[in-house]
Amino acid sequence: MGALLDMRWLEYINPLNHYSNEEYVHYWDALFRTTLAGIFPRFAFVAAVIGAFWYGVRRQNWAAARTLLFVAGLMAYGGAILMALGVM
Amino acid sequence: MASGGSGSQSRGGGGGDNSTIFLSQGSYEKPKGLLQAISDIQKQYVLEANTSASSPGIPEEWFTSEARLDFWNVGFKAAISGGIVAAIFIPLAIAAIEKNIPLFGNWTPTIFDEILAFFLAVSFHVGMGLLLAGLGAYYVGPLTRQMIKRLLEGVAVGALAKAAVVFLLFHFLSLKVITPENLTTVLWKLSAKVSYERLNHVYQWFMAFRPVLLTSAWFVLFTNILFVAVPYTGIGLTIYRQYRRRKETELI
Repeated sequence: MGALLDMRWLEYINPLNHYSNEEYVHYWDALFRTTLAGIFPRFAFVAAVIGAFWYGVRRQNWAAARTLLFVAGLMAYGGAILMALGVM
Repeated sequence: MASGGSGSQSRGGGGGDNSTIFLSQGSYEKPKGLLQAISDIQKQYVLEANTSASSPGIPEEWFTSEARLDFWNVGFKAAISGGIVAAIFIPLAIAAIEKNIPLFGNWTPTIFDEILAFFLAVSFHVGMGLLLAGLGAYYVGPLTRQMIKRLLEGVAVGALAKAAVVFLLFHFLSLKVITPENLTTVLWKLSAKVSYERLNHVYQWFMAFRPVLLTSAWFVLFTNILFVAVPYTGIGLTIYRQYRRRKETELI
């Protein structure tokens, strides 16, 4: 209980206590470059659009269809948003 | 079901028709969305398609004024709800093709990427068009005709209202908001904190994006006109097929 109250666990979940700043930024950069640029987002995009049509037209679940369209949009333009923010 | 009130009714037509028409059980339940409205039309189609030609059929008034308004509202709301999707994704797709923004993290998208971006932009219209295009097949009896007419009127008014609002908004943004004078005024206020190169880059980007909005405005307009035309074309084809069948029967 005392360990919880003295907030030392907050230091444990701080990633910069385990990795250097450069390493941590590199991980995120690699993650964004893998998920939002190249072949992966194209596949994810096609899968999301097919899923949106499946749920929207076939299963008639509009909420799922809209969510999948949003995911498709994120795959296509997420890289652009991060580039504009100077992250990627 | 659009109309309600009674349970099953047995109707004897003038020609001794003993076909039984099953009408909805319980009180009137208004359609909550487009899919329920289409389901109601399909159910009504089954009833009317199984009615023999000699029977007088269900009077149009069975589809009450309240139900007519509900069907119109469902169509209107369904057309409006997809407006945001198109209003966001169409300019993005055109900007990506004009190389103003990267697509899939790439500044030079391939033709395949461009097709995908366009497909996303028109996906709502394609999906809803697929749903509505099938309605023509149910345009048979007087009641289903009324239901389809009211629903499509709502869709048409909603789609054209949405197209008009987006069309005007994009023109307003392009011609009145993103002007060199306005941009210079806004960027000048940031000049103390942001470097000149970066501000100049932002200025150039917005200037290149202006024509994209105008292209998008016209694209939204054409897409919506096409979207409204598709279900009406389906109905037109059904009417033509019915006319041809009638002519062929008369010749025989």
